[in-house]
Amino acid sequence: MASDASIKQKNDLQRSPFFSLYLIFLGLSSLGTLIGAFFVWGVQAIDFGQYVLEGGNDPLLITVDIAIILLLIVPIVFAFWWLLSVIDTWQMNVAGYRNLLTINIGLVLVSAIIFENVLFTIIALIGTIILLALAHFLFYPAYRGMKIRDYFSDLRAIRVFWQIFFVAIILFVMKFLVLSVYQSLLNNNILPTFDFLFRRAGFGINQSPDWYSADSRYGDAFIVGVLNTLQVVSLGLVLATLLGVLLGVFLLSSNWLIKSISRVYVEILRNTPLLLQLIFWYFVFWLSLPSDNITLPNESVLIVALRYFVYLFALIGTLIYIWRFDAPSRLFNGFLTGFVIAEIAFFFSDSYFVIIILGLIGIASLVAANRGETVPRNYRGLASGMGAMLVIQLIGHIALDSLATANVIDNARFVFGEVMPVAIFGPNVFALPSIATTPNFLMFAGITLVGIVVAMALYTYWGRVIDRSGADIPRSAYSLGIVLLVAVVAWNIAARPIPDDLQITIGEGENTETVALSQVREEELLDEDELVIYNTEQPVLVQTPQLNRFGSRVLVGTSLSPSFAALLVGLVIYTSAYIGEIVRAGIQAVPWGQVEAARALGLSQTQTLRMIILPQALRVILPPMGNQYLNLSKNSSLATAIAFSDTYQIGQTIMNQSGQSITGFALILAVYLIMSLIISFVMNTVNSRYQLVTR
Amino acid sequence: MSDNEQNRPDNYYVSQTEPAAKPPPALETGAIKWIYENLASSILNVILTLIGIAIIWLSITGLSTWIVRDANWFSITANFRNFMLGRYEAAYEWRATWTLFISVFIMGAAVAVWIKQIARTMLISIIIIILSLQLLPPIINATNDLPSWYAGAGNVELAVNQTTEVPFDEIAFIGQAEDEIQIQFASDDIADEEALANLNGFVDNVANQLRNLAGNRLEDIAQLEQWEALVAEHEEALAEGGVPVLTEAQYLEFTDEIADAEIAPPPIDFYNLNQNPVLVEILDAGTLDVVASATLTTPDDVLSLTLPEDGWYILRKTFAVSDVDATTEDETSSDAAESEGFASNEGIALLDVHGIYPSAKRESNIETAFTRRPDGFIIEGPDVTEPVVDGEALPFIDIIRNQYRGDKILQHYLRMYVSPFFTQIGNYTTLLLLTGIAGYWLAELLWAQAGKQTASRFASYGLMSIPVILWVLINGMYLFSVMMWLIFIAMAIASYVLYKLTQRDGLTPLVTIAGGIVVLLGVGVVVNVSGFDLPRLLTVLPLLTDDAAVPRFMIWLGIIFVPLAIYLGNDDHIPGEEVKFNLPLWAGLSLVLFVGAAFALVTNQVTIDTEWALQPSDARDWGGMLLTVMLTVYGIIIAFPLGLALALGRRSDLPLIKYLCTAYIELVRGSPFITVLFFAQLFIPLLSSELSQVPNSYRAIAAVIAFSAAYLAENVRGGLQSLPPGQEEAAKALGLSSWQTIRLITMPQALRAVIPALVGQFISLYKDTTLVSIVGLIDLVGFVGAMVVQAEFIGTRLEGLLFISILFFIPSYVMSYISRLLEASGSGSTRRM
Repeated sequence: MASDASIKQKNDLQRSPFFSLYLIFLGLSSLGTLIGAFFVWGVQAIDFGQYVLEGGNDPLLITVDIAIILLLIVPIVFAFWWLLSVIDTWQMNVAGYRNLLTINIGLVLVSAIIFENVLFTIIALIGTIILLALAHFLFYPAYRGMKIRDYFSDLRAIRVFWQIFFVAIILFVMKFLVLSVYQSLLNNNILPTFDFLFRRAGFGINQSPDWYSADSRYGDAFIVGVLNTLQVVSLGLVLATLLGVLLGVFLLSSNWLIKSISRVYVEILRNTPLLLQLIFWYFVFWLSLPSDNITLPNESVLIVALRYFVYLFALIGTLIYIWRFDAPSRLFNGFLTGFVIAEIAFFFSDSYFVIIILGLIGIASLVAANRGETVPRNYRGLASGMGAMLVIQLIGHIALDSLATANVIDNARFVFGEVMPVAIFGPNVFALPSIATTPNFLMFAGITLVGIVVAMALYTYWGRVIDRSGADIPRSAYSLGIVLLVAVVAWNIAARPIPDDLQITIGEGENTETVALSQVREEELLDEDELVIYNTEQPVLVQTPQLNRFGSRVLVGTSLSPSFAALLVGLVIYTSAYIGEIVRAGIQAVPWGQVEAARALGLSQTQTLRMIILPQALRVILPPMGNQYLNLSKNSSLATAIAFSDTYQIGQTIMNQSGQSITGFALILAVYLIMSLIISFVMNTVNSRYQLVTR
Repeated sequence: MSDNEQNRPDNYYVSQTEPAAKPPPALETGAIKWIYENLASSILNVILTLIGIAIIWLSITGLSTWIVRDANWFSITANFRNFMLGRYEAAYEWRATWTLFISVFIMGAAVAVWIKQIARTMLISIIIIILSLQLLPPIINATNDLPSWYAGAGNVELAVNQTTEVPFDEIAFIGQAEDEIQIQFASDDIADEEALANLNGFVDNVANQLRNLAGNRLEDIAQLEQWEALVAEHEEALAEGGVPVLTEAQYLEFTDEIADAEIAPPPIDFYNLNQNPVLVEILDAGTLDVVASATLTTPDDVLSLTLPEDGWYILRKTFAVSDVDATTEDETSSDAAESEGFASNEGIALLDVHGIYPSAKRESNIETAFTRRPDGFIIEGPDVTEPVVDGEALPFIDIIRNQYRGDKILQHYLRMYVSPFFTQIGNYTTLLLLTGIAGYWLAELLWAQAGKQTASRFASYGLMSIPVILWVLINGMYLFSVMMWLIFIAMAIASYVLYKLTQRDGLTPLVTIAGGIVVLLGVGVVVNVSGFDLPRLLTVLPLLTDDAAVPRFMIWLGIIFVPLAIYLGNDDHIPGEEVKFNLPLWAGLSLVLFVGAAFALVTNQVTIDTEWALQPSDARDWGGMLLTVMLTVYGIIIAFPLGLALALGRRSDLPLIKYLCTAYIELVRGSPFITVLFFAQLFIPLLSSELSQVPNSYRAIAAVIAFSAAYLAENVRGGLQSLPPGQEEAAKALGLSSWQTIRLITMPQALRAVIPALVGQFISLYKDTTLVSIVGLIDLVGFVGAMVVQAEFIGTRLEGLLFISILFFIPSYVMSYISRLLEASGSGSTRRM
């Protein structure tokens, strides 16, 4: 029936005397509208192009180009659509007719909105109304019952219509914006180009590498800014993660006091603006430091007791023991107790008598811990840990003293040495050790690399062995050991005097020449600071910082500006509060049943943490962590408030000096966008590894 | 039974009474258990606890010592208004007050309706705050004295390093009637050098120099002793072959320093401190009559006097033995003085003055004001100046040269800072808090009398109206806007009447057209309202001229949006339900009107001044807390519909719309807020000459809107994604249109799901508004920066930062706390929001 009715409708239509007339009229009118639109558009586009060409010399008007391209795309879409509709209409499809109407109205709207062409608008409007009226008048039988609204209710038409309408509005706004800005720039004679990047910058930057000077180009200045930003962001990400994870652990601590302090810390940091904190760190904290620079450790004779090395080895041993074997509970606490007891004892006297007493106590507690019911079960680990620590103390002391008696080392309990400061900071300086590679580095690196390759190969091999046989091989520890061993051997092989006939390249830029080292030494072509790396045997040279006489400039070492330090500290501390909360929430999100199940399976505390809690917590932690990393990278732009020359600040200086606000702005945005993209790409990759794989 | 008795062993014993219950083990109950479990469950925990106690102790003692002893809180008390309102016109201050009171009233009602569980806590805190505000100042004032002002008198120069100070003979000060003034020798304070070095109170330059002399001398001596001790220890150790204490370089340096050390002569003896009699006189500054005078010879001599009236006075302090020779001898004696001190008739006297305090001078175009710092007594007026004697302005005791020096004691801290600050804000805050309680009480009453729905409607409409009230009152309102609102209301009434007459769903196309025409006419009229000029009216309508791009844009918006809103509004009705509120219509209309009003206001196309319209305030003067609030509130409110639209756009299945929305959102989210702010500052003026007149703060608001819309969109999208797709499918199955589905099904659920995220967004925006200080607006942070460059408040940055961090912390914390409460309670109350 239905098909019959529609066939009848079609037949009615075709039989209608006015049909061909109408069709011709319809096609012509909409074609006319289209051509009119093309014409108007074409004129506009040509005007636009001329406008652009008249305006500037070789302008890189990206926005304008895009606008023109869009202007061309819209008519093409319309034309394509028109063609489809005509075919539809020819085939007696009602939708085609409606679409033609919609196209007409769309064209009217778009043209009116974009070009404000009154004449065209009026003509097209009248045309549309005539079409509508004719349709109603001529084809009343076929379209009986249709309301005006129904002409707009073809889904395909509506979809395209809305999109075009939307784009038209955007284009209108864009056109308004671009033209107004362009006109203003034209008036001020600062058309946007990238030429300025190759002009002389003429301003110095506090925090710049050696190669930058006021004579460098704007582009170089901008690169310095980007490098500074990258430096802060990369360091900040690492430090904020470390501090944040620590904070997250504290927030979950069973110690109420620590938990509360961490909570207050987090709340204060999260609820006050970052800018305020940065200003505090820079102006109040850093610039108010005493003008005598603070050095860490304090610049004086520092005495390092050899027992600290004993502690260090004991601690590493304990941790490995706890990690590898089923250690008695509280063993670690026992070690700490032993440490505290020994330190308190040594505080008052470090005579042999005290050491022997401590050793005896240690032996007694070791014996007691391992003998049946003498010590309550819970405290056995504690006792044995403490005992072991004290016994290690005793043995260590005896061993060191014997070495001293045999004149192998200077003194049994102490080593002396003038400790150079590792960090110096004051209102004007912030210096850290510098790391330089000497000509021997290549050999060291090469051998170490071979070691790494071998270790990786063995790691894979052991992995296969484990898969096949199920043997419990600690392959990570073995591989790491191999790498360390090879590195130590490589260091000793590579550490040899640098030959005098080594050819060194001296000079900068075009004035380079290659001279033998002996000649350099004789003719003093390099000053002492630069020669340091040739006077040593080490492959890598770490130099502790030194200041000049007035303490205002860093002679040796990596010099960082106080504003850098303030920015880093501010960003790290602020972000760590958020990361701490994320870590806490992530760990708490793991259902307690998981932990209970792990215990029921007999997994140890560390195994539970490593294999059960962390993988599941990471699943929750990683996505918000990525957000925080993005925030940190974007917040680094607040450096401008504390006079640190980051991308934004240098970009702004360039904009102010050169007047190239558009391109300067585009550059700044591009840097931050690319940085965000890279961070989110990395985080997404990492995240996808940890997410639950479901079907 | 007998068997049993026979088998019973001899030592059988049955206790006749219940054994008394033993107390539980001490470790398992009460505070001890808590401490054991929470603070000392393991060695690691004990260590952590000790570290924690150390941290708390260090931070609390450090902070409180700094707050009481070192901080200069005049920077806050004297600038309180600037912190709150910036340079907002004093004549309009009542508007800010009204806004605040109305908002607090509504918030009180909101608490009663939605978060009753915190009402008790809040009431207790309010009572405590009110009591302390009202009771503390009188108690403090009664029990503590203001610090003294120490002034030097004498006839010699005081030389330290390169600077020399000469005591003023005559110095002016402002006094209040009934002030009691006491002047005497500072005797206890110069008992020995240590006392002099620790002199605390307001000091003039001479007294300050004396302090420094004594202090430096003591430091030098201490340093020398330390070096000597170190060197001695080192030598001893070397002699015994033990561990050396110093490096070789240090040893040489220290011995050099010891050899070169010079210790200045003791200042008390050197300057004959308080050895000579001083003639002290107080003169009326106008008439130069001596009001009181006395010659101070011994520490017991006192000049005391009660000032007769407010005004300027002059303090004259000269040595009583004024021999003419002293001046001629001065130059020759100064060399001699280098070594053995001054002659007996020369020297310095240090006076301990009660009742005279330093004051600060503020000059503006209109008037000059002198404010006495510790108590805020003020002399102001257009012609007020410091006293002029012989044609020269006399130096007066200004706070810049007479700062408080030395470590403050608690009494001085309370009396100088706490009490005046509490007095300053006391009555205002009390009234404000009581208003909040009144709002709470009214909502309770409504709930009891008219039911919960009425109460919650009252609260929610109230909350919604806060931004409007804020805008109207703070910004002011042109007659133009008033007319717009009138048109708006008239249209609403007309549509309602038409609806009642026709009893049809929504509005007929007739009303649509009529509405559109009315809006067009309205806009046209108000744009050309200066004289109702018909030709100009006609030129606006057919879009023929180029001199009114902005109104034309508005009209296009009107042509598009109003019929659209009404068209969609027709659809938006569930059959069988009474039509209450034609949301799209209202939204469309208000959008047009709002945009129109904003543009017309901003571009100054309309300037009308009548008696009953509120004078618009200059947005350039907004500052401090006011600016922060304006930025935050409008940043969220105006960005919200944009954010919704962007979120829907990003989820749209129309590719162009989707990609454009996504591009916008990601572009904004990928760039730092500061760049968006800077963009607005830089580019809005480039757009047109009219827009370059737009005040800084409006541009900042525009940037905040553009920025937060993207973030809000992401939040809302999160909520939309959290909905199960079944909801939308069910709505479609029921035959709801897509607009109805969004409005009635998805949006309410999505928004409810993201309330915590929205609050978080609000908080972070509240904090982020501080960035406007980088682009030159004087918000809270900007004001701290501006404050510390004033001579009076140099070095008070930490005070300012601490104060504003409290201003940021409390609202943020309270908001996040309430959001947590709402989240946790999950009550139906959030449904109505």
